[in-house]
Amino acid sequence: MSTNSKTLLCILPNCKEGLLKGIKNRQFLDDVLLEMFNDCCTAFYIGDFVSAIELCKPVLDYTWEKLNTGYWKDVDVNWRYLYTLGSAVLSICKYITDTRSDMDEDLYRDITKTIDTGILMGAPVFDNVLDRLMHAFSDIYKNSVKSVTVNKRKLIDEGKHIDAKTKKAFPSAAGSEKIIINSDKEIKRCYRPSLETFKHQYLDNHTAVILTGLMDHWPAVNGSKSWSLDRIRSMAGHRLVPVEIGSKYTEENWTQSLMTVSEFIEKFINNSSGCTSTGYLAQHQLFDQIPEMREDIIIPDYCCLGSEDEVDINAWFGPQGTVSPLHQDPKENFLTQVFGEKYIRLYSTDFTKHVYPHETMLLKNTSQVDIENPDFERFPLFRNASYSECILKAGEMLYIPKEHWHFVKSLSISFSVSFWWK
Amino acid sequence: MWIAYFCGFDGLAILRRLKKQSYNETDKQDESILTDLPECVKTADKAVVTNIKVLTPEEILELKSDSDIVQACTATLNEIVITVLHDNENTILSSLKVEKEMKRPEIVSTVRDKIVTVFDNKRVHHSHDNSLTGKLMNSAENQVLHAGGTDSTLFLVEEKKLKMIKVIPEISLPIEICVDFCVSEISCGKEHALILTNSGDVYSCGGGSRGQLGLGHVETREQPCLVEDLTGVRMKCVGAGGWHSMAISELGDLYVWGWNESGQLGLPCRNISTQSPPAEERHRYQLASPEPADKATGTWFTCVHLENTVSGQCEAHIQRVGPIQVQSEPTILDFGEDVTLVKVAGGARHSAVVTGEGHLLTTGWNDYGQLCHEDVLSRDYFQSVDYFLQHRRTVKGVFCGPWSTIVLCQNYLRREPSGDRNRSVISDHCFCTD
Repeated sequence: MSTNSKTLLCILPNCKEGLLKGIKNRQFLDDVLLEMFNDCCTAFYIGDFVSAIELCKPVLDYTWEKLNTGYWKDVDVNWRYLYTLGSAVLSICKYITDTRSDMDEDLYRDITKTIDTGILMGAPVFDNVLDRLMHAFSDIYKNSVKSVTVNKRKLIDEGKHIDAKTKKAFPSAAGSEKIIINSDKEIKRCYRPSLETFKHQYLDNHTAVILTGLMDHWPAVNGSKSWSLDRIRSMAGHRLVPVEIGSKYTEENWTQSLMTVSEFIEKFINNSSGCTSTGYLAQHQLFDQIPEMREDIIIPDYCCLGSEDEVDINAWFGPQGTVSPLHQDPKENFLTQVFGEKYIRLYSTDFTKHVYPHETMLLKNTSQVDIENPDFERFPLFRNASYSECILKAGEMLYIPKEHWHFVKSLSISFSVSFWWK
Repeated sequence: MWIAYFCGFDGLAILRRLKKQSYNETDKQDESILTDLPECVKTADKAVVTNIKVLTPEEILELKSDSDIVQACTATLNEIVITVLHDNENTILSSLKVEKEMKRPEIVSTVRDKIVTVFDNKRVHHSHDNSLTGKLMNSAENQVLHAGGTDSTLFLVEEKKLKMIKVIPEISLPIEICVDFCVSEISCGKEHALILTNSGDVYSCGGGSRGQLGLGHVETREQPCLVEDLTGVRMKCVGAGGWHSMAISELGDLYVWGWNESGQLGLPCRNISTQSPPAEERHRYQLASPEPADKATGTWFTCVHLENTVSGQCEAHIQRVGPIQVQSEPTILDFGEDVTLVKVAGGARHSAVVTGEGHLLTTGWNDYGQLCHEDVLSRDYFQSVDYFLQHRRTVKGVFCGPWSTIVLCQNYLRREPSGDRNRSVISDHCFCTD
């Protein structure tokens, strides 16, 4: 067995009983599934990786069905641990049973998909075993002969047709839409306020404000590592992410799909296949998944003003025209623009009735009103709702007070990072 | 002569255990095994199956006499039960251990991963520890007329009453709902139940996040709700899959609704159809979006897999719509002018229908060969199953386990043009679904 294989196997517990400990409580897992997984692990630990791959599939399929039954939040976490373990075993089996001497791009892509699906659907176990496996596979791939040649070739190819549209580093407010901001309603800008100033003037008063000058030190924004489509592809190209397809999540044609970051860029940003729908990599914890990207952003200091330590960081990456319909979130929010521009409109909680939130449980944080084309007959109070608005530019940070209703539309290819804190 | 076939997932050796039970290959000293299957009932004499994917339909049961009737059939991922009526005697074929001289249950069903049996229309058992009758779970005061189970709940239908028993985390006391209709059939998915009334109306209740309730939204409903969109026509049977629903009208049309992520509704879906078919395979793709293509969704194509079929009679019924992920209201499928449907069944993510002509058509997820097309390619259109056309078997009934399909056939050659009235009566009423 090769050194690489041994390294990978060391990341998992060294015996079946050890692996099964990853399932904290078997009470809610069906006997038939435990039987299948047990057979799979037996094969895995006696070195019969071919059988283990065969047996992994029904385990993952069965668990996937459980994870899709009922509400996600009600699914017992042990199903998710099982999904993580199954994905870990499967990824290693795929590597070991591949008879070629070196890891080529197709195998790397396939293994990355397995691990990412495990990360997305599963729950962390054994000290983030899937992240550690991903790291190990990534090293193996980087060191493999084939990847060096492919990447060299790729950089040359990409240099050639460097996304002609994005050549001008994300032109501002490009395309057909010209939005004029009403100066009465424009959200004010403030350059680097102190913690105290921010707290007293904005946080305590629940007043929105655009903070400037705070992202200059972000590697994502300035310097050799600043984010471009190429840089994003090189850091995250093969990683699997959830993409929202369709005009907005309140519409019937809206759906979610999993694809790699490269596929997303190709299909929805560069639009090379002539796809007519909008794709949005929205509200995804990309920075948990890809530590390399996490290093390029900095949590705003003002988040320490909250009582909770935890800050939820989400990525929002998409082409021109992505829309988040008017909605509210339960936490304070710093919405930052790494590149591109977004139109944002805010309504304070004084106008909650005026924006007619949906009555269903699923959508009660979302307004029924279409901001771009409001139906005043169905929603008469909406006329009286006052709002503030802005065009948020690259390098700027918008403070959205908690529960403030906000509508967001991208005016160009855009990458935003949101920080939810309390 | 009737033959039952099995296709799909067999990673837990159902077929081997089925054969073992009927041939009594276990220890002869074990008195609890059913030893005397009547001569008329024989199961296939094939080699032990070790494959987890049964791609070619495997014979699991043969009834020699036309007067024998398959009463009921139900399957979970790892168990099957078939009850047969022979000379007024009861016979049960099962992969689970069956007590010797056990009566035939009136009703068989599933709940979660267990098989449910109802005896004397009152005692409700669920399988446990390899035994079919395992544990008694409920003793009803009134007659149980039908039963069906989701992933969490067993539904018992009594007259004008619905009893719901949650089975997870443990078996709870029944919750009763009074209803003002008479139920003729119940069929359950993972989270929802479909109820067909004697007057041909369809009600639904349970989880609806994939539109499987057919009420135009994606919410949950605890009480049975009338599926308004179908009230214009009488329905004659219903079939629920994991997260989808189907109904056949008395005119023989199929209505579908619910989740279509693997094409289980027979409607084009994103995961299978594509907007850019590979150039070198373009000839195998057919249009799967409305013509002219909808500006919002663009043009979609689906790959048609008829090249390996032998009979020359296979058809692919591609619906020009979508692609569709969630269909929250019933929609009718087009099978062509002369086709009427008589039976429908749903697995976790696949569907099967039988036509009046005796053809089987399947669609949806096929990773374990459950579509019976002898491959593992999923489809988002109903395609006729070549195997039965090739072997000139008339398909009379179909049942689905979560990842499998069980097909009931009559030997084609014995269908004589003189039209034996007796035989046709049997073929219409010889079995109930679940």
